[in-house]
Amino acid sequence: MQVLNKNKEQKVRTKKIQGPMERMRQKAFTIIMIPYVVFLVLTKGLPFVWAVIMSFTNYTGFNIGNMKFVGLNNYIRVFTDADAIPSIGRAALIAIIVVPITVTLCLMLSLMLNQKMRGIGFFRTAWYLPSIVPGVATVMMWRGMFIKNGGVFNQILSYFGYNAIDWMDFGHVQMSLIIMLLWGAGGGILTNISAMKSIPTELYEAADIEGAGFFTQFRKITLPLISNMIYMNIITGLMSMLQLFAQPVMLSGEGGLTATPIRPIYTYMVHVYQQIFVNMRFGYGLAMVFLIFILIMALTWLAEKTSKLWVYSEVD
Amino acid sequence: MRKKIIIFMSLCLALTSVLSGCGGQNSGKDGEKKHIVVTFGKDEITGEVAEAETIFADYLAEHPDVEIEINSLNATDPKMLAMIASGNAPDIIRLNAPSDVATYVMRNMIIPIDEYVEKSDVIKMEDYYDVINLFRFDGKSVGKGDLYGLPKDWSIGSQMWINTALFEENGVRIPTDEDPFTFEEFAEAARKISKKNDDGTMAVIGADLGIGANYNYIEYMLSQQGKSYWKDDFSGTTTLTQQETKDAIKWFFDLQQQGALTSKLNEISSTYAWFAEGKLGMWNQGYWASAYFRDENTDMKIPLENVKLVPGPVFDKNNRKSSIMKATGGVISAQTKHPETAYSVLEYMMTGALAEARAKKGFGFPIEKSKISLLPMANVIDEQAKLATDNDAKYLSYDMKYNPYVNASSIEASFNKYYIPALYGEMTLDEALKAMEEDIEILISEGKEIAGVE
Repeated sequence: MQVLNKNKEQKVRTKKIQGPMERMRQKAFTIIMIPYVVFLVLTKGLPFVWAVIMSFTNYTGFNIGNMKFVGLNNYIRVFTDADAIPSIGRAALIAIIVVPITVTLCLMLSLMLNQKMRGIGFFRTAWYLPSIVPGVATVMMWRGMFIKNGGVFNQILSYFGYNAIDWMDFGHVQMSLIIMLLWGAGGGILTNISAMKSIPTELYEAADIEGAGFFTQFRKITLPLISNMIYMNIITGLMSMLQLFAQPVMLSGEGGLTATPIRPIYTYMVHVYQQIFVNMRFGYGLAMVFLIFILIMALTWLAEKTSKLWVYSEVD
Repeated sequence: MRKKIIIFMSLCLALTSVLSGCGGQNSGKDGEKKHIVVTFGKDEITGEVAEAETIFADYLAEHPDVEIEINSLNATDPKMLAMIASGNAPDIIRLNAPSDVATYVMRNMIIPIDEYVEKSDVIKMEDYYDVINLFRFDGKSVGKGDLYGLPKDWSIGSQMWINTALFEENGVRIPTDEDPFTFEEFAEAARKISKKNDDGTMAVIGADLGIGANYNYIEYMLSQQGKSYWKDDFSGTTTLTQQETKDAIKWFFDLQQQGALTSKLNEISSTYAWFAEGKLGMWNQGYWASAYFRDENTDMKIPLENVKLVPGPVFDKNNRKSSIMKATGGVISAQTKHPETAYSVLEYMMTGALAEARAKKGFGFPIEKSKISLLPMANVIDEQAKLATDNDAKYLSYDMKYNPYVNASSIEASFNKYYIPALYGEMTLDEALKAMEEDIEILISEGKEIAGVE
């Protein structure tokens, strides 16, 4: 009872402390936020709820009049669909290969590009360039290089007297896709460099005095202090790899976004897209989307829970 | 301070309303206008890239209460399907007849236009080629029943462009208007023309019929023999039950494995580029592709004298059949708020000055016989291609079947999902055919459910 009274007293005191200006500010904040919240609910919240509802129906995009509720059937179907689970496996395999290499490459590049030397701006731009080139152009460029008849890679092989390789056959296409994805490894350079720049120089000066070499400084100072940025790169990398869609589809060639890539690069989101926009299984496709959403949420939660062990933070 | 906050909030609200106004289609004064969305490409209505205001200038002058927006989408474009699913379908939809017409009708996505055509002063059915019937569907058969659309123009899809120099170099007979290839002769010619480089890449490819086993082409091959890829009740395909279907697929499969046909195994950047460079012997396209050779910016590297349009292969020269395969045209969405206005825009697009402009560009034969004299005759190819099409049109047949319960892109996806692994040797062709049949039967049963058919 005493505690309650204390809280009340505190609230009253706080209210008393708030002047008319503060109250007006709060009101203004609320009023300014209303359009945003309304906009958010209308454009994100309602479609999300609508999609959740549709994932429990046999919605095909054209049967809104005679749509049926199918319970958990769409969700169960994901586990019996011969293509769904293997396609997650493929996306996961690509993620396991691409994310660590990309993060490591990006870290090494960031270290090199964080040096003070003449013309470093050019190299920073050059490495970051792939990240700002439109994805379609990137894939078309790589496709042109991989294509068996007349592609750049096979012309180089031919010049040195080697036989041509079918870079997009069952045996090579996954490697070709991974090579293409690694080309964008410089995407995290800017954030890494900015994190490195925010490390106080006094730490390095003190380490120099103590006789610590480059690798010790990297291991003891740089790496811990930019570990939150590495953490972010890993999480966003995993998310984008598990949702890999446009690159395998466009690499496969004809048919636009509804093209069917060959098995080794037929990823989960490609299968989702095929279900919704080729086979008109909107309900099933949405159930697939929510399952990958849950999987990504679970992985992110796991990473967050274990982050205390390997990500440096100044806040407990 | 209070005044400043109020001014700031007012500015925010004004900005929000201005921004939201940018996204709306019918705002302010224009809100009263009938807004018609057309999904044709900006370059295919007159043959030149232009904005709606320019293309439809005369129409808009006569109909000040109408505004037209061009949104270049195909009937099978995911964005189009999303628009239809969300109840925002374009008013006039570009689609390919007959393959898409049947599925669109079965899903109640388009409306018949007979009542408007009957009232029209512009459409004279006697002046129309039979191709218009590809936009008819009676619930079972394409070519019969209500009319659902108007074609833009037409070509004979079974015809092919050939590079005669490659034929002569390899001692292959050149097919003529009177004496087309049989499928056996076609296969033999493709094999003879194909050549490999020392590094294993293709130097020359015999023919292009699409990179998968194009199921539409298989239906063409079967219709020549009085058969079909589809069972009579459209409950599945004849892949596992009819020898002719297996043979047709095997014909494709063998030629693609031998490198005589373009395929995933021997992928090339562009079939047109290969034909233009003299590295493709036979290119399965109709009259419309003559536009590539006519263009002043054409990148043809072979003399035009070596390029000819010839009939497609046939099974029986005494029972010769050619096929349109695909005719592009416009249909009216069942979701349109202004069906009458949408029809008048469609009619304006497909007839009169715009049809004349297209005919003069030669992007296909005009749908009205009276406009045939407008076709270009600028180079050596023009006259030959027109004569070849005129001649082959005598053998046009409309007996290819189309399954109304499943859309063309689904069939193609299911087909290639198994056919391409078989090409790569990941499974046998028999296994692939069995798996694709299972997939297609599921799609058909789902399609029947959507259409409310038992």
